[in-house]
Parts: sequence; C-alpha cells; structure tokens
Amino acid sequence: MLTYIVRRLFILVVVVLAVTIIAFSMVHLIPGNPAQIMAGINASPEDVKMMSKKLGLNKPLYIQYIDYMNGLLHGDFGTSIRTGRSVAHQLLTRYPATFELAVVSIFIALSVSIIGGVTAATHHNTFIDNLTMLGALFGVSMPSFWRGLMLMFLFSLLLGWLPVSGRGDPYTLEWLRHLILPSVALGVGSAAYLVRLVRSNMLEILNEEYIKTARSKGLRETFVIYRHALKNAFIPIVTMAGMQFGYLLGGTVVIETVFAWPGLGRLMINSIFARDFPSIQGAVLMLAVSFALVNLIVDLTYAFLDPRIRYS
Amino acid sequence: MKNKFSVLVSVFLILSLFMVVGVCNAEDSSGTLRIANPTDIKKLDPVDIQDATSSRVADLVFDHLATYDYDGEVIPELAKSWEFSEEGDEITFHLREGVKFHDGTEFDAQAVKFNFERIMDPEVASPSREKFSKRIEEIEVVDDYTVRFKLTGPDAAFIDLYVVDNATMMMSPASVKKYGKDVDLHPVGTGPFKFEDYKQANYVELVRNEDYWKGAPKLGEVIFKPIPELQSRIAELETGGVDLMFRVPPEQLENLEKRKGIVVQKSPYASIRGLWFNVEKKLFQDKKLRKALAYGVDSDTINEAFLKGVAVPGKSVVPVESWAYNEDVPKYNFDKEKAAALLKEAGWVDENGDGVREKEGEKLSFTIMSPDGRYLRDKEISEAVTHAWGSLGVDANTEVLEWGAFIDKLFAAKYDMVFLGWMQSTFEPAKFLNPLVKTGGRANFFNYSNSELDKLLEEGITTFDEKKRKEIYDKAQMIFMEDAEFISLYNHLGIVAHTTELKDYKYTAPRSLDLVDAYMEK
Amino acid sequence: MSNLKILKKLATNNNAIFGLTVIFITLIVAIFAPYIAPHGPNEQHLLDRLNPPSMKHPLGTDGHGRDLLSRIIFGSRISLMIGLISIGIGLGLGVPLGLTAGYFGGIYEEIVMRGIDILMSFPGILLALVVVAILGPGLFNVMVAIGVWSIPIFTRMVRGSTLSIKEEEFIEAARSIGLGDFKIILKQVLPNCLAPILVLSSLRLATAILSAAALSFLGLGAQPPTPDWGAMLSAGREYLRVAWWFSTFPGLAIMFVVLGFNLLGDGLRDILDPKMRGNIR
Repeated sequence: MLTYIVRRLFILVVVVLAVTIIAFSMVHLIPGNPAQIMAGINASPEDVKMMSKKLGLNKPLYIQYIDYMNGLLHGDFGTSIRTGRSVAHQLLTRYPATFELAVVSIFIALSVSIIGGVTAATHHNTFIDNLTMLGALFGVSMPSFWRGLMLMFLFSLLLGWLPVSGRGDPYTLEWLRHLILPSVALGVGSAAYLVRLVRSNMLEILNEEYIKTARSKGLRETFVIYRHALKNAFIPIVTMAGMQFGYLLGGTVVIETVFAWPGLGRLMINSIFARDFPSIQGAVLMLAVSFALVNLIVDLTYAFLDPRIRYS
Repeated sequence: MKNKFSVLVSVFLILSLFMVVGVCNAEDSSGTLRIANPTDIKKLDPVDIQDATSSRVADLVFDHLATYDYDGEVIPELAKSWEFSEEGDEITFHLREGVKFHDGTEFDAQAVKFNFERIMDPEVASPSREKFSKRIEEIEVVDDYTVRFKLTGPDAAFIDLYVVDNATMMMSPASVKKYGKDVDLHPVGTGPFKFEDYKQANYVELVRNEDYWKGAPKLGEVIFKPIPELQSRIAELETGGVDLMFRVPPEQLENLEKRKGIVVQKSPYASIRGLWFNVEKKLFQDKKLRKALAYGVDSDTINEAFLKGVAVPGKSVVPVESWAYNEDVPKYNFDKEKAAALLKEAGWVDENGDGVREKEGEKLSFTIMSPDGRYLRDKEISEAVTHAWGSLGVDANTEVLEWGAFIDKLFAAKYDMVFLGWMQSTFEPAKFLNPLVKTGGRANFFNYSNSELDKLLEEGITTFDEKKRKEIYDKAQMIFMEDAEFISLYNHLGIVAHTTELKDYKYTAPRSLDLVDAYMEK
Repeated sequence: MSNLKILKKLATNNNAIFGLTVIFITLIVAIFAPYIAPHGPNEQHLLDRLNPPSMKHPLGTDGHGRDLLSRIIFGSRISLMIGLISIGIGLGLGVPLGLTAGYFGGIYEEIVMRGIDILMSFPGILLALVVVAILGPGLFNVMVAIGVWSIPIFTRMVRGSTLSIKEEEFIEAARSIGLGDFKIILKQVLPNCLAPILVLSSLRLATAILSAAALSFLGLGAQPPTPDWGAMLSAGREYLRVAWWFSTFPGLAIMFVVLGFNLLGDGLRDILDPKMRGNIR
C-alpha cells in the first residue's frame, strides 16, 4: 500500500512538471504581448519595450522558464504581470472561492443523486423512475452556463430572491445567498451524471440475495435500502463523485464567469486574456495538482472501502 | 415630587443629548457609497494607470496640479495659478500652501518635481514615459511653493495634455520610498478619500480624509465593487446592492429612467468611434473607394437601432460637442446610389454576376477587425456595416478579436479596416488629431500621412490665441475628413445611474466622480 | 453480434429510437434549412431588432433584427458540423494512438499514456480555450480545439479494449499464420473495438457541442455572422432582461440536439456493451 502511494506521488510530480512545461510553452504561443496590453494603445513602441524589460519578458523563453522553475522550487510563484501582485497571494485568495463552490456543488450533486437514484431504483419502471431519468437526461444535455443564466433570470432578475452575482463577504449569510445559484447550476449537472449511476447500482444490489433475506426478516424497507443496499452501492458512487469533484474544480470556469465568482477559473480567463503568464501557470499548476490529488484520494478511498482491492 | 421631576428632566436631557450626538454622528458619517464597475482595479500607481476603473479610484485618492470643472474648463487644484513665459516654452506653477498628503508629509515643489521625474524615469517604465520625456526638458524648484517647467517647445495644450493626465496625480514621495514597488497598493495622495483596503476581485474601500484641504467630504466611505456582467450591475442597482453605476446600455436606459428610486444623469463625452482604413493596404489607397464605402454606411439608422439615447451620430474626427468641431466638414450621409456610382467610377464592377464586384480580376473583399465589447456595440455595428456593404457588392467580413489579440494586430498593422475608438477627458482637439492622424502619431495605426495636415497640427499646438486655434483646427478637420480615411459612427454620451439616496452628486464626463459634497440620505 | 441483430435490438430500445428520431429531425432541418426557414439567416432589419415572438417571427428577432427561428434552423448545420468534425479529429488521432499503445506496449505505451495523463490533467475547457487563443477565433479552430480535447478519452478507452482483445485466441491464430502487426491491428483488433468506439463517439458528440457553446460563450467561438447557437446564446445574454427569447431558444436548440446524441449513446451502450458504465464525460 505504502509503495503504491509513493509510486503514485512520484508519477504525480512528473505529470505536474510536464504540465508546467506544456502550460508555459502553450501560453507563450498565444499571439499578443502582455507589455503591450498593459501599456495600452496610448503607449509608444519605445514605452512598450521598456515595459517588457521591466517585466522580464525580453529574455529568451527557456531562461524565463528556468527562472520560473527556480522560483517555484523556492516557493515563489512569481509576480502577476496584470496586477503586479504576488501570484501565490492571488492563488491563495482565489482558491478558496473555487474550492467552496466545488464542495457545495458536489454536496448538492450527491444529495440530489442519492435521493433521486434510490427513489428511481425502488420504483423501478414506474412513472417516478422515468421522470427521474428524463430529468437526468435533460440535466446532462443542458449547457451549464445556460442553466446558470436561466436560474439567474428566474431567481434574481424576475423574482429578486437571490443576488445576481459576486461572492459577498466570505462566510456570512450574504455569502451563502451568493453561493446558492452558482452551486446549483454546477451541482445539477453533476447530479445528472451521478443519478444514473446510483440508480443502476441500486437496481443491481436490490436483486441480491442478502437484500431479499433482510427483507424477509421483516426489517423496515427504508432501513434495508439505506443501511444495506446503499452501503454496498457506495464504492462506485464515491469514485464517480471524486471524478466529478476533480472536474468541478476545473469546470467552474464558465459558471464563475456567469456569476462573477472570484475564483480560480475567472482568474485564469482574465489572465489568458491579459497574457499574464505567471498567473496562468500558477493557476494551471494549482488545478493540475488538486486534480491529481483528488484522483489519488479517490483511489485510496476505493481501496479502503473495498478490501478486495489490493494495490501492489 | 420635585426631586422625581428633576431626575426625569435630567434623564430626558441626557437622553436627548445622546440623540443629538447620535444624529450628529449619523450626519457626520453620511453613509457609504457603493459603486459598481465592470472591472477590478489593475494598478493604482498613477504612472501605470491605463484603465477607467483604476483611474476612478485613484482620482479620489489623488489630486492634480490642475483639474477640470464640470464643463471641462481647466481650473487650478493643487497649483493656485500658473503662467507661461513669453515664448510659451516655460511654465511656472505657484502651489497651494499647507496641503498635506495622507501620510502627513507636506505637499511642495519638491513633490511636484519628484512626481513628474518619476514618469520619465526609465527604471519606472511608465507607459507615458516617452510622451512626457519628449515634451519636458527640465523641472526646476524655484522655492518651496514655486516650480518651473522648461518645455522642449511652446505648447498651448500643455495643461490639458500633461498636467491633467492620469500619470501626473500627485503622490507622496515619502510613500514611494517607503513601499517601493508595492506602492501601487498603498496609494498616498492629497485627495478627499484615503485608501483603506483592497480585496482582489471583491472590493476597494476608501475612507474620508478628515483633513482634506477643500474641507472634509461628507461621505464616510466609498466602496468600488467589480461586477463584470452588465445584467448583474443593473440588477444590483435596482435591488440596492450598489448605489451608482457607469455606462448604462441603450436597451436598459428607458427602464432605468422610468424606475422609481433611480436617477439617470447624462453628459456629452469626449469620444469618437468609427472605422479606420489601413492605408498601407493597396486597396484602400484609392480615395474614391474609401468615399464610396463611407456613403454606404447608414450611421443614422445604426445610431437609432443600437445606441438610442446614449450617443449622437459622429461627424468628424473631433466630437461634435467640442468647441473645435467644424460643422462644415464633408459629411458622408447614407446614399446607396452615390456609393454604387463611386464604386463603379473607381473601377469596381461585378462582371461575373456572383454578387461581388471585381477590378482587374480581383474581388472587392476585405475584413473589418473589431474588438469584443471594448466600445459600446462595437462588434454588432461592425456586423451591421459589413452586411450593408454586402448589398453594394462588397464582400466584407467581420473579425471579432479579444483585446490582446486585437491590439497585437493593430500595432503590427495586420488588418484591413478597424473599429477603433478614442476617448479623452476633455474636448481639446489636439488630444484627438495629434495622436491619431498626424504622421507618426502614437495612435496612428493606420499609416495615414498628409503633410499639409501635419503642418497645421504643428501650428495648432504652438498657437496660444484661441480664435486662431479654432481656425487652424477647422481647416485640419476639413482636410482630414475630405480624405475619407475615417468613417465616423458616433460620439457616445457619458451616462450614470444612481439611487435617489445619493444626493448632491453631479455628473459630467470631465468631472465624473466629484464626491466632495455628495452624501447618502437614509 | 451480427449487424442485423444490432438493428433489431436498436428498434426495440426506447432510448435509441428517441435519440435517432431527434438526430434525424435535426439532420432533416439542417439539410432542408433553406426551404424550411421563413427568412434568410443573415437578413438584417436593424430597426426591428429585439422584437418579441410574433406571427412574423415565431421566436422573435435578435440584436440585428434577424429572424431567430431562421438562424436556429441554419444553426443546426453548424452544430452538427462542429460535433462531427471535432469528434472526427478526436477519433482520427485518439484511436490509432490507443490501438498501437495497447498492442505494442512497452516504452512506447508508457510514453503515450503519460502524455495522455498530462493532457487529461489540464482542465478540459481551459485546454480548448488556450488552443483557440493560439490559433485565433473561428469555427474551424474551435473544432480543432475540441478535437484535441477529445483525444485522451478515445485513446484511453481504445487502449483498454485492445489490451483485452490482445489476449484472445484469434489474435494468436492470426499471428501464427504470419499476419503483420498492422494488419492484425486493422483487421482483428479494430473491428472488435468498434462497439465501444461507437458508444463513446455518440456521447462525446454531445459533449463536443456543449463545449463549443461554452467556448463561444467565453468569446472565442465562431465569427459573425455565423448562426452558431453558442454565439447566439452568448450574444443574447446582454439582453436577458429585455429580450429573454434571444438566449432562451438557442439554449433549447442546443439541449435538443445534445439530448439526441446522449440518448443514442445510452441506447447503443445498452445494446452493445452493457458493462460500460457512465463514467464518461
């Protein structure tokens, strides 16, 4: 088990290193000069050159990369071109916003999908089952930002119940109110994926002998379903939820744009448009690491939950 | 009984005293003003400011030597007065005495010298460096409150172009030394509000400067919130999440104007928006073709459809509200027949009947490059124009680019035509003509050159007599518009919307956020 | 399973029938767009912009006074094209990589699969965004970007299938009669991977259309005046309060087509590969 973790961690480092190189070369391929964007259309070419020099953009690319990696090894993520502030600081302020959005979304997704999936499975081939599956199908077929826009239109613009955008002061009631629409917009999408999985797993398990035995012993139906059946259906659900969580961490880009949520996704979009190389790299790195870590944790949980699986 | 009564009276008195104090306090800190901006601030170091949001925030923290009144006339601010030398190439400022920066240090002639020299310092690498270095030769501190600028030549628009510039906001020299390169998050000026706090992508908070030299402002706090989505800004205003927003779009104007509890203020804005030909392209070196295309644009309908109530049709390279605007410039009012006739005259005829005109085997085909929402309705209007030209047998396309890619191509002159706007804080014509259309002008991305025009523009800047200047700029506009290098589309108005709770706030474009007298009524 | 049997099963699978019907309708609309659409998709009437649904314009007009219904009808062509071409790119590069990696194994497999891991650890939409930013906006570049984004998932799946097929006896048999590696891959391995490829393609087609819409939404999509649904939806967002129809109907159109491909994918999966689970995105 331990060697397995070490091996996985080693691969993680290699992948992340490769990600930085690729991210670095790719963003430099985007046409457009950050110094030019910073200086604006008022500046003369001479001023732009000065600005490039100040930002250290006049050095050859590989030197810039080595400098960057050197800084990284010393815990220095560099300075944002766009804002002139430390990238590490930016990431630390933006990451929680994305993280909390992903956490709440996955929470919504899990609760909706478990309730929906179990209900559908216990009412197999009834109207409720069909309705749930239809709902799930619509959920996966909707563009997430469209869902966001429609929610915004309905609950903020028409009814005025919830704030339109922004994050509010973190960890106040206002913040909670701001969190509802974006996390629902995201969570519903993931729920739509998860609900089918929950349903099909439940269907399989409900036909197993031991469930029939439990029932025949006269145990309460809800008890049978939630204690016995769901517990056994949990492993694939956890795996999928983990994958969805990783996806959510990176997939909030569009929803963050719709709701002006000050997270990593929006930072990344703005940085791409400003050709703010250090910020893009920092954000990609952060996302890649969390993505890989989430996957690792999912795999470990999997092993933990299912003793049959042994890693060597 | 008497005792009881006196106790009662004293309690009452004490209570009322508290109430008075309370009321005083309430009036004393007349509320918080929350302003919605489409973007977050970028940098608050004046020498680096290039965007509207940062400039608005900085304007409350810093003062200039001179500023604009509500009509865009230059008035003294930190300088009491100034005078030009006989030749017009030297200017002496007499400074206001007893003004202190927020950090308690004195504002004096040394500070002025420091700030101007900082812009020109190559180490600082300000985007305005070249502009200032080319104009200012030397700055001399005469005494504590007198400072003299030696210019590289006479400049009638010096105050307008260099003194009321974002870069020349006066910041405390001590703060620059103290904070070094972090100074842009620690702006220390002499302005009515002090910088208090900033949370990236969340808010900027300013608090009242009790010792403001014009007298402390009434508002206790000003908060700037970045809200990128337009719908959200409006909804926030309507639901009371913010109190003030800039740039109201035409489709929402009527709604907001009618809405109870919301006030809309409009003001002419020194801006031009339009299409420019890249005359480096062989195609567009033919003036007849340029004129034909100009006649093919129905700018009145475009204004009616896209910009109702928020803009006026543009006619020249100078905004129509400017004192320098020449009514007699050649206008290219929409005339399809004339456009078609001119195209034919220029040799463009559709011979093979495919709906597109040709000349010497080549199709009349080109692309308009447009930014993505940088200017009000830029890409929509470009699309409408290409469509209109299509019916004239012109194969025109629109290419919408995000800003970074846009300016990359703009500076490299890798485009055929471009939708470009130019915006200034006042109507000074030199702010429009010199950078945009003078040969080698810093914003002349079009490779346009006309030696006759260049000569006039030189003359305009060295002429101090206002009547003569007007004549010069009249002539310059005639020459330029006759060349049909620029298809003027609109001059947009400055529009703000705010809640009725915000009192004593007057908006005009040159003085867009004067909050010294404003307060929130609650 | 013989082809006939598959068809028979398809005919009894509700998901597949519904999915195919939706796709068929879209296809008909796309092919006969000029005959169905009441107006030209690019016909502008500036003074009639943002008109609500009416007899003349059943779904209202857009920001240039164009008939929204006609644009949505013509947009079906764009949407199908985006889906097909980008999946074509994903298939064209992803499948050969997966086949060879699975078949040959060794260092080559290791390199390919680590490359795929790296590609997958980028947040998907971001990878596409950067690719479009590099190539410049425009329909074709969007398809390339989404195609690139689809490569890893095809490679992974095909490699997995190849690994198990490789162990089958008939591969051994083919080898023993002296068939070359590439012949075996083409004639023996690939046909046996077709079922999962078909399922995955259908599901990925749905995702591709959604992703293209997202790219358009972020400002890096088709250039005007292309009647691209994502671009229309995105243009309408500014008018959400004054013209709800502008964003709503293109969104519904996207949902309709995506639903079709998802249903077909589900149906195919039920028939061809019941063991395949829904962990595909």
